[in-house]
Amino acid sequence: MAADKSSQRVTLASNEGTHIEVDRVVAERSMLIKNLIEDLGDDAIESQPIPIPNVNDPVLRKVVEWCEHHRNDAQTSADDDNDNRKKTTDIDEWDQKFMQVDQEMLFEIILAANYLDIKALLDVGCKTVANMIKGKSPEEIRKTFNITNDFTPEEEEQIRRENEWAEDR
Amino acid sequence: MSTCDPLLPDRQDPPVGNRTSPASRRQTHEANGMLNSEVREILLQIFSYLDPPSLTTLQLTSRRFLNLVRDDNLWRFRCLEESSFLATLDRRRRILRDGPPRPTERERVRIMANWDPSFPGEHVSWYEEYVQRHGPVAVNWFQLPYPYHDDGGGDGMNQRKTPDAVPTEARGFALYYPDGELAESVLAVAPLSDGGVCLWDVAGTRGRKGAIIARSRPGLFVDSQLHRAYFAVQRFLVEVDLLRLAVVGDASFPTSITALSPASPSVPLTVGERYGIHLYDYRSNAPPRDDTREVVQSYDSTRTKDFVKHRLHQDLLDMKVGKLKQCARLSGDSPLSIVHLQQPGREADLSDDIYVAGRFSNILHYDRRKFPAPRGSIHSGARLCAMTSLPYPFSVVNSELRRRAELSLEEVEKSKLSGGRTLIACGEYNTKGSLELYGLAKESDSDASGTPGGLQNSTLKNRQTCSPSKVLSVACHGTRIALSDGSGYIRWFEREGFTEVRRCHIGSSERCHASQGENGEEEGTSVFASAPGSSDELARKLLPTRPAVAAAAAGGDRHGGRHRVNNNDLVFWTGEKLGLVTFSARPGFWSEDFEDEQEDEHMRAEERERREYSDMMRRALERQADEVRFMGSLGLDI
Repeated sequence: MAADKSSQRVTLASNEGTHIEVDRVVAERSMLIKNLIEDLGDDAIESQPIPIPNVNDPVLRKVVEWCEHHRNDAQTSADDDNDNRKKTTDIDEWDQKFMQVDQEMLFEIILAANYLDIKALLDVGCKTVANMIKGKSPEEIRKTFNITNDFTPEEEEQIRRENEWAEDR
Repeated sequence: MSTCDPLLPDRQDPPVGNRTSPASRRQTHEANGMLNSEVREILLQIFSYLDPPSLTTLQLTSRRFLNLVRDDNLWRFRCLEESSFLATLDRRRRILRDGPPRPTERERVRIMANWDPSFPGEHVSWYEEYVQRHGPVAVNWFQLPYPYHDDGGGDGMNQRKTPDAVPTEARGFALYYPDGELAESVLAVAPLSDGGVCLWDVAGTRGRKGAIIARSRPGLFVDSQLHRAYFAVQRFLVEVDLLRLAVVGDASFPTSITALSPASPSVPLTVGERYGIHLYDYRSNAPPRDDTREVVQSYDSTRTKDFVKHRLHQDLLDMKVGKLKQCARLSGDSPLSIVHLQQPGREADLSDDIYVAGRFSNILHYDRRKFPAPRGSIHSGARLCAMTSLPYPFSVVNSELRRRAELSLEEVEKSKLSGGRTLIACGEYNTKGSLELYGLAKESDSDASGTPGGLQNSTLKNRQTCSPSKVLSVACHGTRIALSDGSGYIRWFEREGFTEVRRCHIGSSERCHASQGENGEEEGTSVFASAPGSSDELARKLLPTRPAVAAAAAGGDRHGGRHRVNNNDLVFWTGEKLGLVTFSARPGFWSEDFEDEQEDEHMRAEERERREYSDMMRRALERQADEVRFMGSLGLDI
């Protein structure tokens, strides 16, 4: 059964209708797809592609690329993220390279990971964005993410005062 | 590259189609129309990887981020994660191997519910809560009122410090909200040992934070809505108009006044003296006024005089007519603390319950409507000296179970909605500190309950872990209980009265020598510096700067104007001076900072030398005294 499962291929259909064929174990990195396969039954997925209507082709390919690389990682359930979550934003080298994409793609990957319920990929994406924010000044952050400053100088001063507690000592 | 990432502030449409959300996603309550809740959820997850400095920087980028980063759930989660509650719980679980090592999502929600100290309907700013639980603490000292320097000007506001001047002591304090309790201004009012009254700026809205803004000529609780302060001067109760700093009325009592209730416009003041407790209804004396400020402006000097005369006359009349029949007799042990209990669930509304504690082993309970007759009493056994109250229920069993995170979501909800009130008392028991929590019934006049003092059989007396020395004062501060003890600490406890959240040492009111260390004086003082508590102050009274009314109202106008955060500091009184505990990484201010800047350099140097010398002498004498005591006790004990 296990051997059978690992050799099984499934087809994913992006929202443009393009098809991507992957190993079943790779697709099952996504909890959404995993649950879907369980619900539909093995036969159904062999005969027809699984529609992923919210993800477009380039993003889906990127996500599949990540899943291929991490196909043998220990499956982490959705619940035990707690311990490693707050402590570190370290990302392994391959993931770092993988996330070197333009911002639009980065956020699309994060959204796709969230939709497809791929916890580890979502974490990597969030950590990447967190690292883009860390250690920057407000002006640098605004520039990085194209944010318009809509504070009056007085408001800015007040917020600064309220946040004195977190200043570096 | 197109700029349509979901972090963009003015993006209107959800980034990708209409998605069904993963089941695990929490529902967010914030009505933030322009933000897709999924994006919001992801942003909050990104924030969870950031440290406080990055998060506060992010708040400065735009309004949208300010609202997002101050999300209550984000900070409540952080409060829990860094709490000693969770640390203890994890330790216990590890030792007992009780339950799964990694709690499931559902389990985490349940633990959060068990820990969450807030009550339904209570507004808590969790961002502020986090700052007060984990942010750095700074102790500040208010400007000292020096005796008037008689320069013939006689305008009364000239207080230049002369080199040998000794500051005038403050004899207690209260907080005063000149623009109403919802506004930002906060002033501290204190009677001085020279008979005058002094006002300090606490919030920094009228000038410098901690500076004296007004002081009366040499010659008292505060009602912010009527702009009146009441001061107990031996056996007289003096009413002072804070806008003019003039006495507008007084009343006398048989013996020295030992306790006053906080003043509120809706109920009479309760005055405690050695042989009894009195209700003093100042409203019955004064002509009805809607807005005191206007009335005061219209007074000319003669009318004011008449008014004072009239009032004094009336008071004397009242006294003769037998105001004292409204007196609950006591056996001669002075009451030390009087609390007007709130209505259940409503911070701002007072009920008719009056609780009195003092140098007797019971807490006495009176009903204002049937005043002189006592309604009941609660046995404490400790020597209580201060009380405060919380309009939320307390149950020992539930809080103990919650401390061990054993209640289900429904049980927590039920226990929080049971609608009682909590009386919090503190004092001394067998030379150790005692923090006592009494769960009180919803309605005290339901005689069917029959329990004395409205007690619901729920009493927690923490006499082990609260403090090694007498607890001098207690106050509700955010979702915590703050207390000050006889070893110079201010400690914060969770509302269950058992788990300590944090503590801070208020230290000496004088700038310590370490800050002058660059002059190479460390060696000289280091020998003595280790002597503990040499000049440390004790906080005898604590008050949070944000009144309960404002805290309750803050929830209401959430979507309206932005209210200030991190302004709920603690003002304390050491018996002589006033200070302020703030939550800031910047060092606090010192009394000396307010002295005249143009004071010439060599005078200051001289002053410093003089102070160092006297400090050293004092330490030397103290050490000598210690030695003598040590030798003496050796001789005695053996």
